[in-house]
Amino acid sequence: MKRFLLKSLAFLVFLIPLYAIFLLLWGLFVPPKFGNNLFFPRGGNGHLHTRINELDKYKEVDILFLGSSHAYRGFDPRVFEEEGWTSFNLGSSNQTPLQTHLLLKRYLKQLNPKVILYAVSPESFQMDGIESALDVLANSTPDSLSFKMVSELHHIQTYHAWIYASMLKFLGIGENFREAPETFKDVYISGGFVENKLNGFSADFEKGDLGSEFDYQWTHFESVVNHARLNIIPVILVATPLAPSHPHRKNPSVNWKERIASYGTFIDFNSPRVNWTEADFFDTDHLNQQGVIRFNRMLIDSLRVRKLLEVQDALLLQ
Amino acid sequence: MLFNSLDFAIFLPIVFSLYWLLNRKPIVWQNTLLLVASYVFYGWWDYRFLGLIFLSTLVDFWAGLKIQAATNRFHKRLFLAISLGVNLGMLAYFKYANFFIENFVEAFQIFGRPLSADSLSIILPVGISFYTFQTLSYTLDIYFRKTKPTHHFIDFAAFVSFFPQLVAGPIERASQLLPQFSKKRSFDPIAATDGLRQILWGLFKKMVIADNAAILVSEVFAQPEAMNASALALGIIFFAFQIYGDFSGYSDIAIGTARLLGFSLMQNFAFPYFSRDIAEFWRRWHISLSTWFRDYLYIPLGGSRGTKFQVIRNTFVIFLVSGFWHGANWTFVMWGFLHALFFLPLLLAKRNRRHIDTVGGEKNLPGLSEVIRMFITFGLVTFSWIFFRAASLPDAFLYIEGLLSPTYFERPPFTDLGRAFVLLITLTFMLLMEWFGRHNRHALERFGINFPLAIRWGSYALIFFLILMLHPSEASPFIYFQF
Repeated sequence: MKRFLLKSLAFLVFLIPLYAIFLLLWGLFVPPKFGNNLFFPRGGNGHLHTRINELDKYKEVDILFLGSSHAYRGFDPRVFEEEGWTSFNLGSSNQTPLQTHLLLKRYLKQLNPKVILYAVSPESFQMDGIESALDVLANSTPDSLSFKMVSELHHIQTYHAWIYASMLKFLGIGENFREAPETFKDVYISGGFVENKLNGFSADFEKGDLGSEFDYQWTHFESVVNHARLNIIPVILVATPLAPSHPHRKNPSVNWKERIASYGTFIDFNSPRVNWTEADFFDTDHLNQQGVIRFNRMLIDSLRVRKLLEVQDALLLQ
Repeated sequence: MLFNSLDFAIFLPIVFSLYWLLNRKPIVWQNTLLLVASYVFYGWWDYRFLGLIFLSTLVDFWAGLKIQAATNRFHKRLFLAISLGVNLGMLAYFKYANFFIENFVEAFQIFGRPLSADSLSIILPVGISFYTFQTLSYTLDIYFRKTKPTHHFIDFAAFVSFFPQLVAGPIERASQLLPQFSKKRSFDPIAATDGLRQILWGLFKKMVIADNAAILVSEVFAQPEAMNASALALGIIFFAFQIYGDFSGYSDIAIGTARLLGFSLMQNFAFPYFSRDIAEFWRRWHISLSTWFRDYLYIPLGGSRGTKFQVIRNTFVIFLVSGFWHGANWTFVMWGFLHALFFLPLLLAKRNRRHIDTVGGEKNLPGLSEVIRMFITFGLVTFSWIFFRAASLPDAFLYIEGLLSPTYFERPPFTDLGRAFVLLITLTFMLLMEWFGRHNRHALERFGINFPLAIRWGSYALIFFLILMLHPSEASPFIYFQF
């Protein structure tokens, strides 16, 4: 028995590095469509790779934007710059509170914002967060924080992506990777924003209900709010505008809105008082550039009324 | 608890450690642990059905003692009838009640007498067909004086619920498995190591072959009318390997797990797709069920002895019952009927035992005539799988109609062609491994036995890697759990 156990242990020790090598070779040489469980979207949707690379240039901003594509396609730093406010948009594709929490812990000290604008939507609580985790793992440096996220998700794809990212980092492979700043439909704008170049509205997909919410997303959401509060940074929760045909616009979830509002200042841009038409959007979820400018100016007005930045300035002077 | 789940990956080492820690205690300690572990394993799905296993155990333990003690034939038959009645009654209720209600109503409608009856909302307890047959073999063997009853309830309860083979077999005979519970087991490192290899190969067949095939097969069978002939042909070939990978994979994991615990279970699959005729196929496919039916149904009916009519009748009975055992649907009956049709000519011409050796002998490659025979047998078996997989008989005929269309050279409209490509590669790998391992109990038994240790371990590591890399993210249950 003792010999059997020692032999089994020896095999495990042999297996671990070999497994990582197989994973590396698979990732480097096998086309992604042939592997079920290694998905590594480096330079994928949302320009997160460029955004993270650009972060080094930013220190001490007035406003930090967080959230999913509602954030990185909705908050344009150029509009806020016109008001004299510096900002950075740390949104990412399908970002759920789990990833928001990770990114905040990783970058809050460096960016040290006066205010956080956090784009919230019911969907981000209904998603397991795996897709966004893969985006974060493939486009930023793996660390203990991302491993914590991976172990919490406990999914083979996220484990593989973390190991693969670590192997790439260890061997220095792909360090010079740069994603194209412009695609046929998008262009990356310095400061983390992604501007859509297409004209016209296309509701080409039927948005279905994503199902019930994940409790752990609410736990991380609370942690995001509390983490900011501990650093004496106000968090403004923003429901970004949705097209009139969006299911959450047609049938808004009152319970969700009430729950979100209980965590702090919540500005809802989907209330019936705001008149959005499909001319402001390029798809069901996202504003076109004309809509972004309109929305951002309304948001700036709202922030001015609340005098949040002025209060923070005053606090800092003390 | 699924074999291909993290729960089981944690459960098995715990049971293994505790089990061998108790090795120096009286055997009842180990058997009690196995009993508790088996009930936890089964209760992980639905603890409510544990009562059925316990009832079956209780009745057969009692009936076994009574049959042995009975002094006259009437009493022996009475206690056997009670055992058969309880076990088959449970099976009939949980598995077949709705089938009979629906067919009864339909029969009345055909004769112009509309009848309405609600289907019962009955959940089929996982593995009921397996453990009822296993426990029935106990009372039947005592009745036929092939074995003696046990007086140790814990041993018997552990035998009925033994977790490695509780939910999908192999269906063990009491005379083969029960004695293993009453004698001291000693740890055999060679058997345990080979058990681990067999588990690894079983997981590969289940998680890589069967689970990926399942996705493509479901797509094809969901709307066969929208598929061209190439997709339909690939769909049914994939299903042939899905069901093989699923069920033989389960059996390999079950046998390997039992070997870790010092038990020996019967071989359930012996590379059936390398069979040269249908008779050989049935000696190699789901061996524990085929031999169960042979011993407890076919031979008592007279087997291949008697008049030609009796031989034909017995053949149809065993195949139709076998089909019906798989599920309460006419599609399974049709599947059994087809196999009876394929088998009968061989039996009547007394050629059914022509291929009792292993194909290819000691050679690396089969001869041309063997290849042709294997292809024909595989073709017949695969054709019959259409009925096994289809939701209804009209669906099966629709599928066959699609296969007759001249669109074999069109690209199959799979949503995920990459998956089909990977499946074809991994299938080739599996077939090659099984071909070269066809003389053994499983493909990895003697694989790389002469290789340096690092190469052999590297090969196991590669198979392990392929399992985790290629299995679909969501674990799917084993097909045979529904039977």
